[in-house]
Amino acid sequence: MSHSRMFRHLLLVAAASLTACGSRDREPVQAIDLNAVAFHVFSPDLGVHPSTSVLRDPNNPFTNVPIDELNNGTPEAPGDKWQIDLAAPAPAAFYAWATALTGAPGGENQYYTATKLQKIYTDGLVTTDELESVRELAIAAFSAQLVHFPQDYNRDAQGNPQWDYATGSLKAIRELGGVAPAGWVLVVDADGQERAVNF
Amino acid sequence: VKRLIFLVVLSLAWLVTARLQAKSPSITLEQDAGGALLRVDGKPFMIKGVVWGYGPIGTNYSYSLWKQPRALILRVLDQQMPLLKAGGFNAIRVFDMPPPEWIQYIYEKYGIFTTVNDMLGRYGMTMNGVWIAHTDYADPEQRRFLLGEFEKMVLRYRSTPGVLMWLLGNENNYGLSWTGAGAENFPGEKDPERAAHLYSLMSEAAQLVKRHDRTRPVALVNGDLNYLDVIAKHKTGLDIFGTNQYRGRSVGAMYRDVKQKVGIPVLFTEFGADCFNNRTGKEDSLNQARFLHAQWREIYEESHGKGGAGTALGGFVFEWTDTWWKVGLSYGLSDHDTLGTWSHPPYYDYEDPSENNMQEEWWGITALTPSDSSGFYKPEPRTAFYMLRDIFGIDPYAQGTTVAGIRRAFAAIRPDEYQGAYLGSEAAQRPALRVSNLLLKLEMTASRGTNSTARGGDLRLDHTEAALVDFTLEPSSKLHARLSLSFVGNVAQNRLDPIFYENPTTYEGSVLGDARRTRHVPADIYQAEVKAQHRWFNLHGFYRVGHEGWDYEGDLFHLYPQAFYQEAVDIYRAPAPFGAVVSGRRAFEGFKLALGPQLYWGANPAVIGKYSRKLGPVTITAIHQEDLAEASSSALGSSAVTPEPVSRKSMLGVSAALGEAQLDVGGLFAAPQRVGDEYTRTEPSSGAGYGGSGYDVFREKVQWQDTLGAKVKLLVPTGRAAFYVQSAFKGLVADAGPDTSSTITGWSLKESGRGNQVNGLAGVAIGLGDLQIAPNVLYQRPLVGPNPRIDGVYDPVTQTYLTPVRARTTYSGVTPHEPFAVLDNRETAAGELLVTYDPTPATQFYQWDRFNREDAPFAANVDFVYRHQPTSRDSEVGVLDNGQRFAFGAAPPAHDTWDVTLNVAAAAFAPVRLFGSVFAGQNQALGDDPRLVTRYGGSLRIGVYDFLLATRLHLNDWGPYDYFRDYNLTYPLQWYGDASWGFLPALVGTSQTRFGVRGQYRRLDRYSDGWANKLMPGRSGSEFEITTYLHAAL
Repeated sequence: MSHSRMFRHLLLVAAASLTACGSRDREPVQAIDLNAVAFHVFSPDLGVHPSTSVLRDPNNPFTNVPIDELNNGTPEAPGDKWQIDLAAPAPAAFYAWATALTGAPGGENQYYTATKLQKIYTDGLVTTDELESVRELAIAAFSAQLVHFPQDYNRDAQGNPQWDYATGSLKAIRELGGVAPAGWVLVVDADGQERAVNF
Repeated sequence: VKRLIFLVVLSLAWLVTARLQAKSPSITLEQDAGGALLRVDGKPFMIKGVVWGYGPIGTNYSYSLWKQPRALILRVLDQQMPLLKAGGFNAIRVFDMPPPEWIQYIYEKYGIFTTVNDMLGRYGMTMNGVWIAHTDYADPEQRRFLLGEFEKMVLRYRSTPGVLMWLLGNENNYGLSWTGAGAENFPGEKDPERAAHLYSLMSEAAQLVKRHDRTRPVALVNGDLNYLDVIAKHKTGLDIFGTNQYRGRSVGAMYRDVKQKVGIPVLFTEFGADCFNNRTGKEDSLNQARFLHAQWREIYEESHGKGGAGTALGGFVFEWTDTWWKVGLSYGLSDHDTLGTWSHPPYYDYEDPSENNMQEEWWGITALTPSDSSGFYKPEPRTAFYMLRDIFGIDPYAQGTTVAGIRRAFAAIRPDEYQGAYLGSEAAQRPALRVSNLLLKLEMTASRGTNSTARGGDLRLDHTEAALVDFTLEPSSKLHARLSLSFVGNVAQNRLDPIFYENPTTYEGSVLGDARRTRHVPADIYQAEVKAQHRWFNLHGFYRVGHEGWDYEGDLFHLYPQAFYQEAVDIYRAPAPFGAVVSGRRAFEGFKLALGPQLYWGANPAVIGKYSRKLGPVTITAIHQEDLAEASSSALGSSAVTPEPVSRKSMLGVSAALGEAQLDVGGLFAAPQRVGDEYTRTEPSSGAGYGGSGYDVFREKVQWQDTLGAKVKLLVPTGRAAFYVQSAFKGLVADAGPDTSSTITGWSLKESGRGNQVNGLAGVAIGLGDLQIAPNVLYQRPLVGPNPRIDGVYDPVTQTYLTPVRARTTYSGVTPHEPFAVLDNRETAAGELLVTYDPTPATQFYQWDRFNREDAPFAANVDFVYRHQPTSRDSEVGVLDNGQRFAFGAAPPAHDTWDVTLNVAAAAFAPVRLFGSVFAGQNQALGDDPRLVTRYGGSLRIGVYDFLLATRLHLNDWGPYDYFRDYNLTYPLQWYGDASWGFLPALVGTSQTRFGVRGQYRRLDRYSDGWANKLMPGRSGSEFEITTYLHAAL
């Protein structure tokens, strides 16, 4: 076989190969309507560290959103989770926080995930059948904050500690009628403020 | 005055010539009814020879006595040649050809002759700058080249007193079938057509000798009696049938066959026996002596005038001393391996005839002993040496000598009576489990920075103590195991380059934001290796020991690549490569199975099976790979290797020999697990696009055809214009492995192993004398291009959220990750021009240990690569200080890059050896930083006897670790220097005793790691380090 003929054959193979990547089904990516996001209890540990089941939850509209987009930012342009937290309905905000929690485990993401569950419960944003499950999830999420991230603080834009998540979590567990993890109690400090302490 | 000078020169020339001619003995070859007789100065002369060589323990094939100081050469010759003379030897055959002055010295002082031997393409050659691994004796150009080189050798040596005869080749007939340079099982007569070309060339070489030197005979060096009929047709010019003979105790009817078919006398250019008993697993010098006893008796019986063939001229016993480097070639040089490497039933020290019963490192009739600081050692004669001394006392040509008389004389020489003279080598007395290597490292380090650096201005002192101990277990010749343990005392924490083997990073308990922490590991396994032979298979287990790949065994998609990166895995303390390969034998020949947690660096735990079968000119290869789990990122160490998604791959390849060309065609089926997975695709929009980004964004799913790949490669590896052309299509998820093979020459532009691409490559290496000009081009394009960065947009009024788009990553530790990505498969049109000047054909310029091996007075290459990259790529994975991995959210913008490298090797001024390089380039970071880096630098390595000086200077270049390029961290200047002295000349890649001092200096600016003057960004800083070290190898 001559070399030029061989080369022609090579090109033919390449050309034939290219056809294999022809048209295929595609779906244009559209903006997510956050009002339409509904919450369902996909798993008994949804939004509870270290579970990442929220990434498999078909109701979660943020599974394809990079964690850093949700989580990271600057004082001038904070991560999207903060904007969503401020104005979006609780189910959408829950999925934003819970998704961020899977890629960036920490007290902040766990605490706000739990607060959104609490809001879904208190506002009754699920069917009656699921309401009790949501209450249990919220308790579990606050408990996870105490167990896994007990020392984490809410910080200002400059990174200075403002208030501890543990106290908020412990109070919320009590409000939800739950039982706090062993060793955690609320005490009153010298300023007369209640503070969670772990003995 | 001119006339006077002319007369003086003429007189001197006459005197020199006359002296040489006066010293050259008369060597004649006579044939009569009694057979054949070699005469030296008229007296019958039986060649009582040995294949002689010199190489201290710890060195390998690259060591050459003739490049050592003159004092050492004299010391060696004046110690060994008297020993040879006392042993009755009168001739030596030497593979590392001595310069003429030393042949003359050996002859005039000790009366020992030397043969001059040209390999004539046996181990390949570089012709016109093109490396040809397998000589084609039918090619007129190659024949002309080989004869031209041989003629130069003849002209150089023809006037040298002490040259006994000319030897042509070294069992070149085996080279027609064998694929490597080492010994394999004998192939027989598989290719008479190519053999005819080989032997006609040998005949032409012999006739060439006759034109220049009619005073010495010419001998072929054949492998056994193969192709005797073909040789008979091409015997013109050949005086002697030289043969490397390994038929055991007797060669049978060999003398008769040669006499009948070729009609010329016979010389054993190699013969003998190894002195290791495969059955007992112990050294057996008596057995070796018994074989040599029988072999020499037969030579005597078949010598002139005894009534037999009468054509035996003598022989060269293989070999003088053991060679400890033959198993491993570059590894285990200080260990005397007992593993059999080929099988040969006539030596019957086996339990099964298919066993590899031949131990390549144990053929000496003297044992190696440790050398002193200059590289001098005294070999210890074995039983065979003492026995041969008495055998050589028998004069085969004495008046009235008969076969019966020879038998009586030999019967009186009983090998076992000489056993007591050999006290046994150190190696012979060693236990099955022993300490085989010990390396102590003692270092003291001082370092300091300026105030603009994180290091600060205080001088810091620290020290490192470490040791490596090798234990070798050899309970039998079928099992070899080596365990290398590392022990670490204090580890210096003040080094400028803080990541090294003794100072590994710990990931345990790390959380995001942690600074890098090191852990102290007082004892650990540094390496481990097991080689075992079974009736049905060979096993090779390895832990942090490099291995060959299957690139040259039909693995067209590089699913099992070669894995040699000891320095890199040492820096990051990566547990790779780690696994085992089982190679089938007998009924399972062609099957291979590789399995392990990390078969090559970055591999997932996997099992890979291969089957190859040759059907005429076609070889069919099937390979299947099954990943068992995803590699733990902490087991990889460096960001240079990233865990890939678990997959399953199968390939089928057909390799066909089309005359000089080789055509490879193959298909790949990979990662069916990804079918149905969604990915994001972006395309330029005709309108405002998604969120005003200018792109339309889609979600698509991987389909079954995305798992398919195909490749075709045509290679014409020889000739003045060797070339290749190849093309491949690989579907979105049809990832292959990294290409670690070499095609034709040392090109750096290669196909990416990643899927999602169509590509084509072509290159040609044009030889112009010693110059090779080799252009190479590549074009590749991803089937689905990279994603740009589009930020998410939340609109609280409409409560809508535009999902952001990021550069893709396949790393499963990141959310979201996609089934494929565009990385080294980015759209590229690249050109490379490689120009090489290498006048020495035997040593390839592109071998990794070229500092050890390159013997050219001057060799150089320049390599220029330009990459046109019209689009960007997806996201690379980086490693944080604490070992956690993440994906950069973007990539540097599209930009062209280039690199140029100049390498120079020089051995013109022995004993000075020099290797230097200069580089420049403009490249991009691997992370997301858009700053383009234009960098320069060079290195120089000079060896003078046992002294070594190495230095490097880099300007505006990245630092030494992978993360420097990830984060685009550069230093304005980096300088390294190392001066050391050792007992032996420095060898790259081996453990040696060396004392030295090394220094490091670098300047820092705002782009540098460790720069700490954020208040004054224009101010630079500097750091230096000085380390004195003692590395003692025992």
